[in-house]
Amino acid sequence: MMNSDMPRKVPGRLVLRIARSVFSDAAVETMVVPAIADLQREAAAAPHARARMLARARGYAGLWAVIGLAALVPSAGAGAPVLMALLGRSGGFLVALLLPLLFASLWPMFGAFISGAAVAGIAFTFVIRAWNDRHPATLARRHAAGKEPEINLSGIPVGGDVGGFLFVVASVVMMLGLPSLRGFVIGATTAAALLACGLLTWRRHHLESPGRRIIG
Amino acid sequence: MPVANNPTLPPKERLILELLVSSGPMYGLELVQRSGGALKRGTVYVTLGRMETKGFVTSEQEELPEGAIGLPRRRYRPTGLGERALAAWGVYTRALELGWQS
Repeated sequence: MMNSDMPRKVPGRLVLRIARSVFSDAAVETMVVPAIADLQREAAAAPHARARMLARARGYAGLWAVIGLAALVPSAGAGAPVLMALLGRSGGFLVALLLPLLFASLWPMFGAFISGAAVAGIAFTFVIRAWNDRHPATLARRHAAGKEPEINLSGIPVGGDVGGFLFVVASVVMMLGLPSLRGFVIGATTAAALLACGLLTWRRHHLESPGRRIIG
Repeated sequence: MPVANNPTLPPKERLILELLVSSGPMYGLELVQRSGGALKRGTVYVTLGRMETKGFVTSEQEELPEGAIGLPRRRYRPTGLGERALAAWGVYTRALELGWQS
């Protein structure tokens, strides 16, 4: 079995500890340990310091490639735990990671005012959060147990999970960054609101049972 | 049966089986060194792990001598199934080549 008390100077010791905290025992035994063993053998067999350094560089490159594959590629057989953690439930974390990229790519459209507003908005969210923790709003608490994305602390749920969230982000980007489309967005939003009101009114009159109501 | 559903033996797995059958049990790094660049040290253990799951190869940890420092390597050998898969793949590809030529 594995020699767990490796001396501190043996290469691969730290990587092995990291791998053990991320991967299953089987994945560590079949993928990571052999790669570290190769690194150690090559480094130990090197005749001089320069060769030892090259052996270590080669070994570590291979070792990190193994760990990268095991962590990120589902077909590698280790369950891709890092990819799964990034994706999260319904890919929500991945969408969150895409947001900074979206704003960075659209940066020329924004300018100083929007960036200032973004910073102020982020700061304001911390203030609102702190205030809400002291004076919790009943409306926000009503949805606290749910997992769906919500628009700020008023607890308005966004329909369609990640798709709805993306729709909101895209609408904001269009409003701010593409002035020529503002008329279209405002018109479409007004039409959608009128349609929603009509639908609500119809459902109240025809489907009044509590379990089928949209709001309330 | 549609062509897409035919069983396949990926090139790297075939190469590993050929090396193990022709030269006997080997460590992962030996396979990389003997493959002439076809196998990389960053992917060979992933491929070997997949082949072990399929039952094409089996492995055992080397016995470290008393007082040795470091981790034990794994030595891989082909299974009977792996040898049969390699032989069958050879027959299959030769038959396909003959079919193309005729």
